[in-house]
Amino acid sequence: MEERANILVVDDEIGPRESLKLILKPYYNVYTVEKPTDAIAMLDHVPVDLVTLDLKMPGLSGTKVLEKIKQQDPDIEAIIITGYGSMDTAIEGLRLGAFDYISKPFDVNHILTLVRRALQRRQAKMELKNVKSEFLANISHELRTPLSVVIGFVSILLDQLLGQLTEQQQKILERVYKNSGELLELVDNVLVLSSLNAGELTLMTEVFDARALLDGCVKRYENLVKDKNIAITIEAPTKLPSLGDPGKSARIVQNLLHNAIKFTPAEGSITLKLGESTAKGMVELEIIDTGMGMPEQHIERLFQPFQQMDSSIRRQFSGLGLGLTVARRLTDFLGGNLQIRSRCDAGTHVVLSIPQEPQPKNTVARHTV
Amino acid sequence: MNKILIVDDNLDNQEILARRLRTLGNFEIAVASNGKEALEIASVIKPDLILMDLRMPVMDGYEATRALHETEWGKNTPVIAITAYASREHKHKALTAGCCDFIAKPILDYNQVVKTIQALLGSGESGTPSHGFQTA
Repeated sequence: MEERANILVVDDEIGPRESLKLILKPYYNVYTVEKPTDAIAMLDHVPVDLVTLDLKMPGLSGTKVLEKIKQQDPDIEAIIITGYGSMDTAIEGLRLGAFDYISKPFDVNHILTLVRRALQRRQAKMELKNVKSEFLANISHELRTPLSVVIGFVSILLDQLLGQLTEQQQKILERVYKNSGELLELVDNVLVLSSLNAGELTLMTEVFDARALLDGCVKRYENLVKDKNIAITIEAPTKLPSLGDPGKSARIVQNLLHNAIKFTPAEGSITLKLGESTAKGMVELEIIDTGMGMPEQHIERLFQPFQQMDSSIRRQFSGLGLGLTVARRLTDFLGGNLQIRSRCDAGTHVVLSIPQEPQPKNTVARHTV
Repeated sequence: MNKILIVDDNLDNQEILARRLRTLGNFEIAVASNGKEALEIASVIKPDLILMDLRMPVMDGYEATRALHETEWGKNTPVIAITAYASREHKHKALTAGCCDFIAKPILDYNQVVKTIQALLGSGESGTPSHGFQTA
């Protein structure tokens, strides 16, 4: 290995802590902490590759720490150190994803071998992860490139840069343009879902204007809205500075809005209310449409991919129903909340809240700041 | 008249962008198909701004941007990344390589692109928001 790996030793007893440090120091960068709670804080400062963990510690129990570490980054390897010969906790540790366990007092060669093997496993996992994420990025690139050529040339024709169009030509090209846009949405949603499933999504935190983001999403569908003569009302401050992940937030809003437009009949209306939520540190968006609505018992099913209410609806409105699944999964990823209230023939009321500083739940991605 | 160099290995995308820019602004347009060719052409014509695709054969856009900014004549030439990569990660990588803005293909709003170009040509400043279809 060309770079020295970072190892974090967590042990409340100075003896084993210092002896582990001495054993590992010639080969690795070793960091030590006494308290389990400090271990979690340490992960934010040092890119830790491996943790050695005493499971019998006062306060936060060793297994809890292991659980937290694995939650933050499942690719961090852990070796359980157990002083009491307690098989139960060692097995619990393995169940939580530890690489192996070792009993005190430990043999120097044994611990070095275990550490080396654990780091090899980590390296292999990281390589696989890179291959997966590169593959997804390449697929995305290869799908979007031909689509951008189609959309680019059609828009040149539509804007009559190459001469005037007959009314019929214009109408047909508008349909090509619209369908290319639908295909792009689909491609993007499939890719987001694959990234989520592969644990390849990274949280990107930056300052952005939530109002500008909403306006951008509305603009994206202005042709669809015009086609159906839907009235869109926006109730929002002129500026709403936010700290979060604008890319993923935009994807969620686009999917919800696209859905609302799709299920709102011609001449209907959609109201968008954006503001800070009563819950502290949340931005809230309400999307209220005058669409067909749906019976309450069907709402949960909407979040299953490829499900629309029933086959008769599917015949009336094309699509796989991916949009809502992606919206829900991304909202969860950002630590937000997505609620849909609806009744038959009474329209649908969507409430989306996203934290200002997202705390991702169950993420597999490494936390990047 | 401002000279703009469009760098893209996809000839269709080159043409789309060139046609749009010629119509919307008073620009002189040159094209290149990869980073290496871009550096060669740029060293001769000294463009006022470069629209740079990122993923290209021979030499990619990140490398070309870095190399350009290492030359005496090109160190201040603004580069806008225009790419079918759409993630924030790629945006970050492009900005780190020295691009001053990032536009995801397909582009929807060419007027906005021209505004960004004009702002960069006018003041040499960066920091305009992104346009086009960017994904999560």
